[in-house]
Amino acid sequence: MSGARGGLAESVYEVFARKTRGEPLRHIGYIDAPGDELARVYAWKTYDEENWFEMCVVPRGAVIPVNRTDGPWAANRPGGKDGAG
Amino acid sequence: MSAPAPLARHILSLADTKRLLGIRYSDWILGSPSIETGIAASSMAQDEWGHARLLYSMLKRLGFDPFEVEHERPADRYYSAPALDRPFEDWAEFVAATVVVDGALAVALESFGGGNFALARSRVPKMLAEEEYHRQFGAAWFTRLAGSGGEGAARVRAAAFAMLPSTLVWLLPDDDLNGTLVEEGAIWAGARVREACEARIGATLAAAGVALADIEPARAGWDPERRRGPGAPAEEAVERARGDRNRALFVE
Repeated sequence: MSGARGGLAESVYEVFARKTRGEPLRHIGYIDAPGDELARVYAWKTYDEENWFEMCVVPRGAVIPVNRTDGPWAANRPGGKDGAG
Repeated sequence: MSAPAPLARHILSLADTKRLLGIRYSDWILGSPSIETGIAASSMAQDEWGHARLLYSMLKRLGFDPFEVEHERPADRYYSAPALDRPFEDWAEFVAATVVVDGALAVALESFGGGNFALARSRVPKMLAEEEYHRQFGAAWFTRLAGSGGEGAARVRAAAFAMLPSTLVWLLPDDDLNGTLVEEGAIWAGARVREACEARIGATLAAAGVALADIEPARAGWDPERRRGPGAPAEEAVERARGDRNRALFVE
Protein backbone atom coordinates (compact mmCIF):
# COMPACT_ATOMS: atom_id res chain seq x y z
CA MET A 1 0.00 0.00 0.00
CA SER A 2 1.46 3.32 -0.98
CA GLY A 3 0.01 6.67 -0.27
CA ALA A 4 0.63 10.38 -0.12
CA ARG A 5 0.26 12.16 3.18
CA GLY A 6 0.47 15.88 2.72
CA GLY A 7 3.09 15.47 0.05
CA LEU A 8 5.13 12.81 1.89
CA ALA A 9 4.71 9.71 -0.27
CA GLU A 10 5.44 6.59 1.77
CA SER A 11 5.47 2.86 1.10
CA VAL A 12 5.00 -0.10 3.40
CA TYR A 13 8.03 -2.25 4.14
CA GLU A 14 7.80 -5.68 5.75
CA VAL A 15 10.40 -6.30 8.45
CA PHE A 16 12.13 -9.65 8.93
CA ALA A 17 14.70 -10.52 11.58
CA ARG A 18 16.46 -13.31 13.42
CA LYS A 19 18.26 -13.38 16.74
CA THR A 20 20.98 -15.88 15.87
CA ARG A 21 22.81 -16.95 12.74
CA GLY A 22 21.18 -20.36 12.53
CA GLU A 23 17.64 -19.21 13.21
CA PRO A 24 15.22 -18.67 10.30
CA LEU A 25 14.26 -15.11 9.44
CA ARG A 26 10.78 -14.38 10.75
CA HIS A 27 8.32 -11.65 9.96
CA ILE A 28 8.26 -9.27 12.92
CA GLY A 29 6.16 -6.39 11.60
CA TYR A 30 6.08 -3.55 9.12
CA ILE A 31 6.86 0.14 8.89
CA ASP A 32 5.94 3.02 6.59
CA ALA A 33 8.86 4.80 4.99
CA PRO A 34 9.45 7.11 2.02
CA GLY A 35 12.40 5.10 0.71
CA ASP A 36 14.81 2.23 1.30
CA GLU A 37 17.31 4.23 3.36
CA LEU A 38 14.78 5.49 5.89
CA ALA A 39 13.06 2.09 5.89
CA ARG A 40 16.30 0.57 7.21
CA VAL A 41 16.61 3.19 9.94
CA TYR A 42 12.94 3.09 10.95
CA ALA A 43 12.91 -0.71 11.11
CA TRP A 44 16.03 -0.84 13.27
CA LYS A 45 14.79 1.88 15.60
CA THR A 46 11.19 0.61 15.79
CA TYR A 47 11.90 -3.08 16.41
CA ASP A 48 14.79 -2.63 18.82
CA GLU A 49 13.41 -4.84 21.61
CA GLU A 50 15.88 -7.61 20.72
CA ASN A 51 19.57 -7.73 20.04
CA TRP A 52 19.00 -8.89 16.46
CA PHE A 53 21.68 -10.80 14.61
CA GLU A 54 20.12 -9.84 11.28
CA MET A 55 17.27 -7.64 10.11
CA CYS A 56 15.98 -7.07 6.57
CA VAL A 57 13.24 -4.94 5.07
CA VAL A 58 11.28 -5.81 1.95
CA PRO A 59 8.92 -3.48 0.10
CA ARG A 60 5.43 -4.90 0.56
CA GLY A 61 4.90 -4.65 -3.18
CA ALA A 62 7.77 -7.08 -3.76
CA VAL A 63 6.22 -9.92 -1.77
CA ILE A 64 4.40 -12.33 -4.09
CA PRO A 65 2.01 -14.69 -2.34
CA VAL A 66 2.12 -18.31 -3.39
CA ASN A 67 -1.03 -19.94 -2.02
CA ARG A 68 -3.18 -17.31 -0.29
CA THR A 69 -5.63 -15.00 -1.97
CA ASP A 70 -6.17 -12.82 1.09
CA GLY A 71 -3.91 -10.92 3.47
CA PRO A 72 -1.63 -7.92 3.03
CA TRP A 73 0.14 -9.28 -0.09
CA ALA A 74 -2.91 -10.49 -1.97
CA ALA A 75 -2.79 -7.57 -4.39
CA ASN A 76 0.67 -8.70 -5.53
CA ARG A 77 -0.60 -12.04 -6.87
CA PRO A 78 -0.05 -12.45 -10.59
CA GLY A 79 -3.34 -11.38 -12.04
CA GLY A 80 -4.43 -9.86 -8.74
CA LYS A 81 -5.49 -6.25 -8.26
CA ASP A 82 -2.42 -4.02 -8.78
CA GLY A 83 -0.47 -7.23 -9.14
CA ALA A 84 2.33 -8.01 -11.48
CA GLY A 85 0.65 -10.40 -13.78
CA MET B 1 33.39 23.43 39.66
CA SER B 2 36.79 24.95 38.83
CA ALA B 3 37.94 25.59 35.26
CA PRO B 4 38.76 22.19 33.74
CA ALA B 5 42.03 21.12 32.17
CA PRO B 6 42.11 20.49 28.39
CA LEU B 7 40.97 16.87 28.49
CA ALA B 8 38.13 17.52 30.95
CA ARG B 9 37.01 20.55 28.94
CA HIS B 10 36.91 18.39 25.83
CA ILE B 11 34.86 15.66 27.50
CA LEU B 12 32.44 18.19 29.00
CA SER B 13 31.97 19.77 25.59
CA LEU B 14 31.11 16.41 24.02
CA ALA B 15 28.87 15.30 26.91
CA ASP B 16 26.94 18.56 27.23
CA THR B 17 26.39 18.72 23.48
CA LYS B 18 25.04 15.19 23.47
CA ARG B 19 22.77 15.90 26.41
CA LEU B 20 21.33 19.03 24.78
CA LEU B 21 20.99 17.30 21.41
CA GLY B 22 19.02 14.54 23.14
CA ILE B 23 16.66 17.14 24.59
CA ARG B 24 16.18 18.81 21.22
CA TYR B 25 15.49 15.43 19.58
CA SER B 26 13.04 14.53 22.33
CA ASP B 27 10.98 17.64 21.54
CA TRP B 28 9.99 15.92 18.27
CA ILE B 29 9.03 12.47 19.54
CA LEU B 30 5.46 13.66 19.08
CA GLY B 31 4.69 15.97 16.18
CA SER B 32 7.25 14.68 13.69
CA PRO B 33 6.09 13.78 10.18
CA SER B 34 5.20 10.15 10.92
CA ILE B 35 4.98 7.65 13.76
CA GLU B 36 8.13 5.92 12.55
CA THR B 37 9.98 9.24 12.48
CA GLY B 38 8.89 9.96 16.04
CA ILE B 39 10.11 6.54 17.16
CA ALA B 40 13.45 7.22 15.47
CA ALA B 41 13.63 10.62 17.20
CA SER B 42 12.92 8.92 20.53
CA SER B 43 15.61 6.31 19.94
CA MET B 44 18.14 8.91 18.84
CA ALA B 45 17.37 11.01 21.93
CA GLN B 46 18.02 7.99 24.13
CA ASP B 47 21.24 7.24 22.26
CA GLU B 48 22.47 10.77 22.89
CA TRP B 49 21.64 10.62 26.60
CA GLY B 50 23.30 7.24 26.94
CA HIS B 51 26.43 8.56 25.26
CA ALA B 52 26.35 11.66 27.47
CA ARG B 53 26.27 9.52 30.61
CA LEU B 54 29.23 7.48 29.42
CA LEU B 55 31.15 10.67 28.70
CA TYR B 56 30.27 12.29 32.04
CA SER B 57 31.40 9.14 33.81
CA MET B 58 34.86 9.57 32.27
CA LEU B 59 35.21 12.80 34.26
CA LYS B 60 35.21 10.84 37.51
CA ARG B 61 38.63 9.51 36.54
CA LEU B 62 39.77 13.12 36.19
CA GLY B 63 38.71 14.10 39.71
CA PHE B 64 35.29 15.58 39.03
CA ASP B 65 32.16 14.87 41.05
CA PRO B 66 29.76 13.40 38.44
CA PHE B 67 26.67 14.48 40.40
CA GLU B 68 27.80 18.10 40.48
CA VAL B 69 28.66 18.01 36.80
CA GLU B 70 25.35 16.47 35.72
CA HIS B 71 22.91 18.05 38.16
CA GLU B 72 24.28 21.25 39.70
CA ARG B 73 25.56 23.52 36.95
CA PRO B 74 23.70 26.65 35.82
CA ALA B 75 23.07 27.27 32.11
CA ASP B 76 26.06 29.57 31.73
CA ARG B 77 28.33 26.74 32.87
CA TYR B 78 27.25 24.44 30.04
CA TYR B 79 29.76 23.65 27.32
CA SER B 80 27.27 22.58 24.63
CA ALA B 81 27.41 23.60 20.97
CA PRO B 82 25.61 26.95 20.42
CA ALA B 83 23.36 25.55 17.67
CA LEU B 84 21.44 23.76 20.44
CA ASP B 85 20.87 26.79 22.67
CA ARG B 86 17.25 27.13 21.58
CA PRO B 87 14.65 24.58 20.40
CA PHE B 88 14.32 23.66 16.73
CA GLU B 89 11.61 25.83 15.25
CA ASP B 90 10.51 23.37 12.59
CA TRP B 91 11.23 19.94 11.17
CA ALA B 92 13.79 21.39 8.75
CA GLU B 93 15.88 22.56 11.72
CA PHE B 94 15.65 19.09 13.26
CA VAL B 95 16.87 17.54 10.00
CA ALA B 96 19.65 20.10 9.57
CA ALA B 97 20.82 19.38 13.13
CA THR B 98 20.97 15.63 12.50
CA VAL B 99 23.44 16.38 9.71
CA VAL B 100 25.35 19.40 11.03
CA VAL B 101 25.43 19.01 14.83
CA ASP B 102 25.06 15.24 15.14
CA GLY B 103 27.53 14.86 12.28
CA ALA B 104 30.06 17.17 13.95
CA LEU B 105 29.62 15.27 17.21
CA ALA B 106 30.29 11.97 15.48
CA VAL B 107 33.44 13.36 13.88
CA ALA B 108 34.58 14.71 17.25
CA LEU B 109 34.01 11.24 18.70
CA GLU B 110 35.95 9.61 15.87
CA SER B 111 38.83 11.93 16.68
CA PHE B 112 38.59 11.27 20.42
CA GLY B 113 38.22 7.52 19.99
CA GLY B 114 41.21 7.53 17.66
CA GLY B 115 43.41 9.25 20.24
CA ASN B 116 45.32 7.82 23.17
CA PHE B 117 42.83 8.30 26.02
CA ALA B 118 42.07 4.70 27.00
CA LEU B 119 38.46 5.25 28.12
CA ALA B 120 37.63 6.92 24.82
CA ARG B 121 39.33 4.19 22.83
CA SER B 122 37.22 1.53 24.58
CA ARG B 123 33.84 3.31 24.74
CA VAL B 124 33.61 5.40 21.60
CA PRO B 125 33.38 2.57 19.02
CA LYS B 126 29.95 1.45 20.30
CA MET B 127 28.75 5.05 20.29
CA LEU B 128 29.88 5.43 16.69
CA ALA B 129 28.09 2.22 15.70
CA GLU B 130 24.84 3.68 17.07
CA GLU B 131 25.60 7.00 15.41
CA GLU B 132 25.63 5.30 12.03
CA TYR B 133 21.83 5.16 12.11
CA HIS B 134 21.73 8.87 12.96
CA ARG B 135 23.89 9.52 9.92
CA GLN B 136 21.61 7.50 7.65
CA PHE B 137 18.52 9.18 9.09
CA GLY B 138 20.00 12.67 8.64
CA ALA B 139 21.34 12.03 5.15
CA ALA B 140 18.07 10.54 3.89
CA TRP B 141 15.86 13.28 5.32
CA PHE B 142 18.20 16.12 4.36
CA THR B 143 18.53 14.87 0.79
CA ARG B 144 14.79 14.36 0.58
CA LEU B 145 13.96 17.87 1.78
CA ALA B 146 16.72 19.47 -0.25
CA GLY B 147 15.50 17.72 -3.37
CA SER B 148 11.86 18.56 -2.81
CA GLY B 149 12.19 22.14 -4.03
CA GLY B 150 10.06 24.91 -2.60
CA GLU B 151 9.77 25.76 1.05
CA GLY B 152 11.20 22.54 2.50
CA ALA B 153 14.39 22.88 0.49
CA ALA B 154 14.77 26.55 1.36
CA ARG B 155 14.23 25.92 5.06
CA VAL B 156 16.65 23.02 5.42
CA ARG B 157 19.28 24.96 3.50
CA ALA B 158 18.78 28.04 5.67
CA ALA B 159 18.91 25.94 8.84
CA ALA B 160 22.18 24.31 7.78
CA PHE B 161 23.69 27.70 6.95
CA ALA B 162 22.59 29.03 10.35
CA MET B 163 24.09 26.11 12.32
CA LEU B 164 27.35 25.59 10.46
CA PRO B 165 29.45 28.67 11.43
CA SER B 166 29.18 28.09 15.20
CA THR B 167 29.29 24.30 14.89
CA LEU B 168 32.48 24.30 12.81
CA VAL B 169 34.14 26.44 15.46
CA TRP B 170 32.93 24.02 18.12
CA LEU B 171 34.36 21.11 16.12
CA LEU B 172 37.62 22.88 15.30
CA PRO B 173 38.60 25.14 18.20
CA ASP B 174 41.60 27.30 17.41
CA ASP B 175 42.97 27.75 20.91
CA ASP B 176 45.87 26.61 23.07
CA LEU B 177 43.92 24.09 25.13
CA ASN B 178 42.83 22.24 22.00
CA GLY B 179 46.37 22.44 20.66
CA THR B 180 47.59 20.78 23.83
CA LEU B 181 45.24 17.83 23.31
CA VAL B 182 46.46 17.42 19.74
CA GLU B 183 50.09 17.53 20.89
CA GLU B 184 49.39 14.95 23.58
CA GLY B 185 47.74 12.64 21.05
CA ALA B 186 44.32 12.68 22.73
CA ILE B 187 42.55 13.91 19.56
CA TRP B 188 43.31 14.27 15.86
CA ALA B 189 44.87 17.40 14.39
CA GLY B 190 42.52 19.94 12.84
CA ALA B 191 43.27 19.01 9.24
CA ARG B 192 42.29 15.39 9.84
CA VAL B 193 39.12 16.42 11.67
CA ARG B 194 38.19 18.74 8.82
CA GLU B 195 38.78 15.94 6.34
CA ALA B 196 36.61 13.54 8.36
CA CYS B 197 33.88 16.17 8.58
CA GLU B 198 33.90 16.64 4.81
CA ALA B 199 33.74 12.87 4.35
CA ARG B 200 30.84 12.47 6.75
CA ILE B 201 28.54 15.34 5.82
CA GLY B 202 30.02 17.09 2.77
CA ALA B 203 28.07 15.17 0.15
CA THR B 204 24.82 15.44 2.10
CA LEU B 205 25.15 19.21 2.50
CA ALA B 206 26.00 19.52 -1.19
CA ALA B 207 22.49 18.25 -1.96
CA ALA B 208 21.26 21.61 -0.68
CA GLY B 209 24.00 23.57 -2.40
CA VAL B 210 25.97 24.01 0.82
CA ALA B 211 29.77 23.69 0.55
CA LEU B 212 31.64 23.25 3.83
CA ALA B 213 34.69 25.01 2.42
CA ASP B 214 32.65 28.15 1.86
CA ILE B 215 31.44 28.44 5.45
CA GLU B 216 33.16 31.11 7.51
CA PRO B 217 33.58 29.81 11.09
CA ALA B 218 32.06 32.17 13.69
CA ARG B 219 35.04 32.67 15.99
CA ALA B 220 33.93 36.00 17.53
CA GLY B 221 33.22 35.80 21.26
CA TRP B 222 34.94 32.43 21.73
CA ASP B 223 34.93 31.37 25.38
CA PRO B 224 38.06 29.24 25.93
CA GLU B 225 36.84 28.00 29.30
CA ARG B 226 33.57 26.59 27.95
CA ARG B 227 35.05 25.67 24.55
CA ARG B 228 32.23 27.39 22.68
CA GLY B 229 31.00 30.67 21.27
CA PRO B 230 28.94 33.24 23.18
CA GLY B 231 25.56 32.50 24.76
CA ALA B 232 24.18 29.58 26.75
CA PRO B 233 21.43 26.99 26.38
CA ALA B 234 17.92 28.11 27.32
CA GLU B 235 17.15 27.71 31.03
CA GLU B 236 14.20 25.40 30.35
CA ALA B 237 16.43 22.92 28.53
CA VAL B 238 19.05 23.05 31.27
CA GLU B 239 16.40 22.35 33.91
CA ARG B 240 15.53 19.20 31.96
CA ALA B 241 19.21 18.30 31.45
CA ARG B 242 19.85 18.62 35.19
CA GLY B 243 16.69 16.72 36.07
CA ASP B 244 15.43 19.52 38.32
CA ARG B 245 11.88 18.15 38.55
CA ASN B 246 13.15 14.79 39.75
CA ARG B 247 15.68 16.18 42.19
CA ALA B 248 13.92 14.69 45.23
CA LEU B 249 13.94 11.25 43.61
CA PHE B 250 17.57 10.96 42.54
CA VAL B 251 19.05 7.57 43.20
CA GLU B 252 22.76 7.19 42.57
